[in-house]
Amino acid sequence: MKARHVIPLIVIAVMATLALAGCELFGFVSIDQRVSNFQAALNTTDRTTAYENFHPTLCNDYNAIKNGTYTWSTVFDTSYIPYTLTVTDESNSSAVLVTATGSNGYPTLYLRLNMQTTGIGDYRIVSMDTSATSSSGPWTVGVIH
Amino acid sequence: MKSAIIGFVLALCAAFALSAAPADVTYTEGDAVVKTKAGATHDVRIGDTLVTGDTLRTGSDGLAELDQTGVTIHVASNTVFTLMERQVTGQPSTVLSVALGSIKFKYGKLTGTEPGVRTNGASAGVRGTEFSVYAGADGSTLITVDTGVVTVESQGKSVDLAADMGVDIPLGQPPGDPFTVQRNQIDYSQWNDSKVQAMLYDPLAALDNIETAMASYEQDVASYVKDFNDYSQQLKKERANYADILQKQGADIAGKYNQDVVYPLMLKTLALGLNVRYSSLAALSLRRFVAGRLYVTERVKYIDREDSSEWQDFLQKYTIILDGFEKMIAPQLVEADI
Repeated sequence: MKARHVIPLIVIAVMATLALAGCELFGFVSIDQRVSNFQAALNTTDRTTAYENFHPTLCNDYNAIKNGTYTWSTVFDTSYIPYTLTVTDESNSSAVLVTATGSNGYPTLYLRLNMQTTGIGDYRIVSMDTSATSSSGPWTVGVIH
Repeated sequence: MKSAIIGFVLALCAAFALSAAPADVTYTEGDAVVKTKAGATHDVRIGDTLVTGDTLRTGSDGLAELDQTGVTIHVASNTVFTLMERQVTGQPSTVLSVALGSIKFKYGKLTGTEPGVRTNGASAGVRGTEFSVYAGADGSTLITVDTGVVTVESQGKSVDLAADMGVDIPLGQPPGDPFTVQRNQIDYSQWNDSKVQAMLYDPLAALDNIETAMASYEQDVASYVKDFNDYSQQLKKERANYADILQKQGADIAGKYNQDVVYPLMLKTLALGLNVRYSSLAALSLRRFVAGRLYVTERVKYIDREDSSEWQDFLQKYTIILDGFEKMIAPQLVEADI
């Protein structure tokens, strides 16, 4: 095969790979994708990767939430897996509104996430406020922060 | 000790309702490094911001000045300072921890939101505007007040210090009698040297004090873990009740039950879990900066006399303390803490 034919093929292959792998390959994680990743981590029984969705330097509780025994098992009891996190408003990255529902009659929990980027376009959760009432509050501020 | 600390922290939190505030570095010179909570270490620079879990450490020629929402924190040489946090009913409260060395705190204006202060062996509630905390290599604490009032607590006993008063708190013991101090006349090095000499004169007695203090932290952790487990079980029951109410009585009544019962219980349970961590980190500080240093000193002293009864007695007692730590505290820590 001639070189002039090979190069376009390589370009097409790279573009296809990027399309399939998504922007995470370069560290870009959108708000939606981060919430989706968080949901996936909560839907495992050991929750060992849940903390990775939080900001390593700006989240005060970063080390505390590595031990899921005291945090994730309390807020998101494994008895109610699978959880669904639905983003209802992401117009303000420092107050992303998310509705958390679970199975077996888990009481709906409303989340307000302060998300900031680490690196280029990699959104992480800095803090998580919660409400038992609605996505407009009243909020318990800094449940995880 | 736990009940006293809880009372102290409740009082703080009721008054403070404080969100754990970061501290900005406003001045630094000499050897001063920060170890972030993620485990990375770098030189401190003016403009840096310390957040909960970060530890600032100054060398023999180092010093730093921090500003934390109106509190000026002057960190002297040879000092280890950590921003910590604990929670009560979901309210985070900053605790300024002095593991070793000396720090002077100066409050611009009392707002009722002042963070608490702790060392390896004592905690202090702030109603004063200017005071100093000295943390000795043997785990003992000296607190002196320039202006205002500071309440010092250790081993369930507390004393109020007015201006120009000070108190010495030996590790694992309640505060001594307050005494009058001449302002700015405390020589930390001299005070610390006397503590170190006393510790090395009778290392077994020093280990006794460490053991007492460590046992208090272990009891706190055990108590918090038990409370956490009890609350977790109750939370499971209440969530099940919620699901039952939802099915039988509808969303409105279930929603109210969630707001009144389930959700507040979740917040209390979460706070207990985070307090397990607070006590565990305090125990780690005691092990690292007091017990660990004493061990190294004695190890060097007896390196060519390992069979001596003094070393064997020391080692036996030290091992007991370490075993307790490994059993009760270590499981609560994560790699980045260590």
